[in-house]
Amino acid sequence: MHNINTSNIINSLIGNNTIYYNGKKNIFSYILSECDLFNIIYEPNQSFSLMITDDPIAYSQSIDKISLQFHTNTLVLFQQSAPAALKKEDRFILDKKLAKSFRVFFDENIKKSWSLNNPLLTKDIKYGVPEYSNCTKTKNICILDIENNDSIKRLYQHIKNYADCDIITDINDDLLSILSSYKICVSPNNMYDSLLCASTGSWVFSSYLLADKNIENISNVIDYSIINDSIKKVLDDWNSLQETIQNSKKYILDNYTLSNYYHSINNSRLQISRRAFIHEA
Amino acid sequence: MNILYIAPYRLANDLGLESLNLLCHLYDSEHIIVSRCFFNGSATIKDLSLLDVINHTENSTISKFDLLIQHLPIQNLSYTSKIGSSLVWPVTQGLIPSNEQIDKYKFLASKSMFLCDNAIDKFLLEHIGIKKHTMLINSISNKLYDKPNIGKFDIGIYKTYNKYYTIVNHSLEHHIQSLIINFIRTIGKKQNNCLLLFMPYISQNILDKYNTYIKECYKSFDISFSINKIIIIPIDYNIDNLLSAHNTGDVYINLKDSIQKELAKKFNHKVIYNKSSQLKIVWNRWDLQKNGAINFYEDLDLNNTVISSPGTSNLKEIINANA
Repeated sequence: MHNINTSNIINSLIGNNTIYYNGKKNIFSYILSECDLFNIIYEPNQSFSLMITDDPIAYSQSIDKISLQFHTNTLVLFQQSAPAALKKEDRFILDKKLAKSFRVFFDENIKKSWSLNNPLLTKDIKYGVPEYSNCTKTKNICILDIENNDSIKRLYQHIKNYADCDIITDINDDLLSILSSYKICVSPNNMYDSLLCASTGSWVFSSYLLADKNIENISNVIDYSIINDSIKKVLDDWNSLQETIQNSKKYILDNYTLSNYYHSINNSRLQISRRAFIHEA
Repeated sequence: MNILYIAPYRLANDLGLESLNLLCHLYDSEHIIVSRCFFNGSATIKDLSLLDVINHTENSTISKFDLLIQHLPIQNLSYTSKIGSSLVWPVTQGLIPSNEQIDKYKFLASKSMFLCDNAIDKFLLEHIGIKKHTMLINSISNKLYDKPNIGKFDIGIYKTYNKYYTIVNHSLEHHIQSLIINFIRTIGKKQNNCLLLFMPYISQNILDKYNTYIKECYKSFDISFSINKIIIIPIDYNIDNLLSAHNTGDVYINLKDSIQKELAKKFNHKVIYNKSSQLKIVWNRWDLQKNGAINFYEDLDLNNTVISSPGTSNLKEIINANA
């Protein structure tokens, strides 16, 4: 007999460290699940003390049903900019819907794009990336398509027609070893993936840039039709770009440390999961 | 003792008020209380005059508990071995549980003390074979009752009448219709008796429906009247309105056992009770609950009014017994 709501209430008070990750399985969630300060589950098949969601709009649309089902507080992750179609009134409704949810922003530009300025509910957390020592570049280009995106597959074909390019669709324990072996990573839709690849000493092409101007080995791509020219230029200039790449790599590893990131998420968990869950019908 | 209390105490209905009342008693005890509200989608009380109690018990930082008290429907009750003692006050709504639910009741009964606060729930627990249960006297906490100015509803010419009244959810259609007929054919014939029906959150359509029903009843009894003596008063469900409703009426009609009966006692009102000996299990063909419900099967005797003084909460004894 399903009574996960009451179990969650009890467990959130007596120190349960399980988090239900209600979101996409991707590199971000994979790295998060490697933390031993908490236990990530992807299905709500056991009691948990906090829910994390990575899709603010979808979550806000089903918040009544989900929150009543689970009776836990939620961390809403904002990892992408607000959609251009999101109107002022939509933001107002979103803010009202998320009135009891805690919002995590990893980047100042993304935070500005959403304009959800409730400081009591907002947490600014810096991404953290694992450090990988063997970053020998043996291959030229990879494109990341962990979330099985058709437009990325088309982009892969577009690049492959001109250059030797691999597509990475799976996450496994060799992920860091694989990513670090490429000189160039194309990561169109994911800021975390871009940062991770940049931290291995690769040059990254991405639609998203962190607001942090000290990271110089990520190029912002607006028009992917001319990406092959950009790729060729980086490969041609590879040796002269090394100082920029290595400086950025060091900066990322110094400033986006995995332990700080894990502790920030865990501190949020400890702070939020014990708070009384309030639902307003 | 550190006590964790899980109940729907923020809900704006009788169930929520019962839970809130017990929370007030717990708050006034010598124990450390942590509360968590259980929500089911119903409206929540907006004018939280008891916000201090709620905030204090919701913001406690205790993480080790000696006693768990749950006031929840059977499907939401939980068991944990990490809290030594457990009190279960099930929300039954008089419905006979399914076989699966009965198994859960029996499992919880082997680990917990069951509480009930009315004849119907006591009957139900005994019906499913749970002998280990205690009648909880959830008398009205002073925190709910002691208000500086309790108002009265303006009922115009009826204020000089002998005012029979009840506070009832409009969805209890059968009970309300039965009461209307019962009133018209018995005490309603007397010149100075009127019936006040306080109904929380009633829409204009439903109000019109009940008023039409009242007119039809008078007509079918062939009673011509110069003045309708059954008045429906729509109210928002909040503590001030409930106290005002009780302060307006004279004789409380206890349709379904609820905390309103205890509030009426606080006002020293006469109460018309159902008789617990008249309980039986009924199968209503319109009822989605296939296993039936427990109900009173005879009409209320509106001439049988009783003055009963408010009880004294036995929560302290119950907690001590489970310490």
